[in-house]
Amino acid sequence: MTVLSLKDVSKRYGRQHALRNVTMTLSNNGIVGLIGPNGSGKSTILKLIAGLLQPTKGEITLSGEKVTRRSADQIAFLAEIDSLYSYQTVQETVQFWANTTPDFSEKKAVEMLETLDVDLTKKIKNLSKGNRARVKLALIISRDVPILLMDEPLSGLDPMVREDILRMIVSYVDVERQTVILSTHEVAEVEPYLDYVIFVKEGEVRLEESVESLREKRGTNLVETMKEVLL
Amino acid sequence: MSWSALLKKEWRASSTPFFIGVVGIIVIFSGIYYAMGRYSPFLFLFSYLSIFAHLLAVGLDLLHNLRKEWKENTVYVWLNLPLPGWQLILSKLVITMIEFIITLMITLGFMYVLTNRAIDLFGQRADGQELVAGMEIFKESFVEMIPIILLVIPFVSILLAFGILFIYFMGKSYYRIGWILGTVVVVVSFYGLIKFLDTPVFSVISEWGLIRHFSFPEQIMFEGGSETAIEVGEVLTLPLYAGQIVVGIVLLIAMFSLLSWMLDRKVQVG
Repeated sequence: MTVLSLKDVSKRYGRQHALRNVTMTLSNNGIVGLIGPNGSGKSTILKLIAGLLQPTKGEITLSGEKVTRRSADQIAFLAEIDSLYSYQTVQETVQFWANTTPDFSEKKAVEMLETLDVDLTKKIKNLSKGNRARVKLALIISRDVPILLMDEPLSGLDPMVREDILRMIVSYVDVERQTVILSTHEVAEVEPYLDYVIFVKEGEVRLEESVESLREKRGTNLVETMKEVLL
Repeated sequence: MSWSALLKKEWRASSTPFFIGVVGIIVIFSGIYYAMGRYSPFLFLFSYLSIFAHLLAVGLDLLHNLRKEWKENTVYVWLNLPLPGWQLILSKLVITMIEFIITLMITLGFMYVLTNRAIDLFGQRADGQELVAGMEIFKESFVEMIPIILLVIPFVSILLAFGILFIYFMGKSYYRIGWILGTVVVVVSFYGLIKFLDTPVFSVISEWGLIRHFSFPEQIMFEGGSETAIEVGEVLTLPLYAGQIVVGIVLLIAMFSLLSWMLDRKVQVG
């Protein structure tokens, strides 16, 4: 069982505090929503977990091992911004990932992209924003790793693309073995898919709990809970 | 498979600026070739300056390449590849070195051609006998020095490149103070290294396994103006030891290991 643990983690950019004393443990939590307003520290948490940022204080471990960039063999990260090599075609991108990432399933990626009607011969730079988002997500979901991190996967996309993306996550992620942590603003839209939520505000975790027990305890939906916790 | 994929990616990312650079070198040298006939045969000396430009070429190329990863946000994919840092850096270095060696060979080829053209042009002058004789010695020294150039220039280029990468990685690891701290460490280390080369300790660890001696004039003076002349100084003989090469390689491996460790443990995307 994979256990992801953040112990008293803080992150500062110069003098600005992005995260303060965050402590939490996640272990096979299915689909986790990291929810909070802009600038609350959601992206920072995901980048720290991926080993792409170093904590100013505290420690992040994955199954007891300190997380570094080398943890990429167990943690896949999807950035909010366009981060694929724009000069590659979709097919070349898939091939590149297949050749550099041992846990990557080329078959799964191609199957997903064909289902989504993405032209494999097109260069990344010539794709629409929606299709670039679909490609990014197909690539990350095709990795067989215990932790999948998705930074605002729905941000700035039209409803059709957002629906595709949520459908892809639910259909292709093996929640028995994989934990997905996705940051988002679209609470109402993702609520039906979430197993666990973490509410973040001003660099602090305000609440973390399973969605089911939240509903039982509070008797409200996630949007209502968010309003109570974050406003 | 990961090697070929990484090398292919690095080649595609850098091939356009490389070809533009090669065309630029050819245009500049062709310009010198033409200007030598029209203005002065001594203009061939400018081609020798280009050798020094190569000293910074590897470092600047790598820096440009890394900055591009950050600027175009591909760093999120690059640093999330489940491959060791040394493999990520080495793939960039290999492609940069291939391009570097190609441009260095083109440069040396043009230097040879332009030196021969200077000899031809001096030979056409009524008072050109002494100049041709001086130029022949110069050409001989140049040819004698080619193995040294091919050894020293890439070595110094990689050494400087690693210094530049260290500063860049420090900047990405410790934000504001990283650049300053990195620059101080590099300047002090390189100064210490230069001082160390003159110590008896360095002689003991590096002067073994004599490969060969290289002989060349201590200086060759070119005088232009109304009385053109070429004066050749005393001939120097310098030894090249296998020990010097081994020490150099060990130094590069140590620096490379440090950079790889930094990429895996310290460097940040933000």
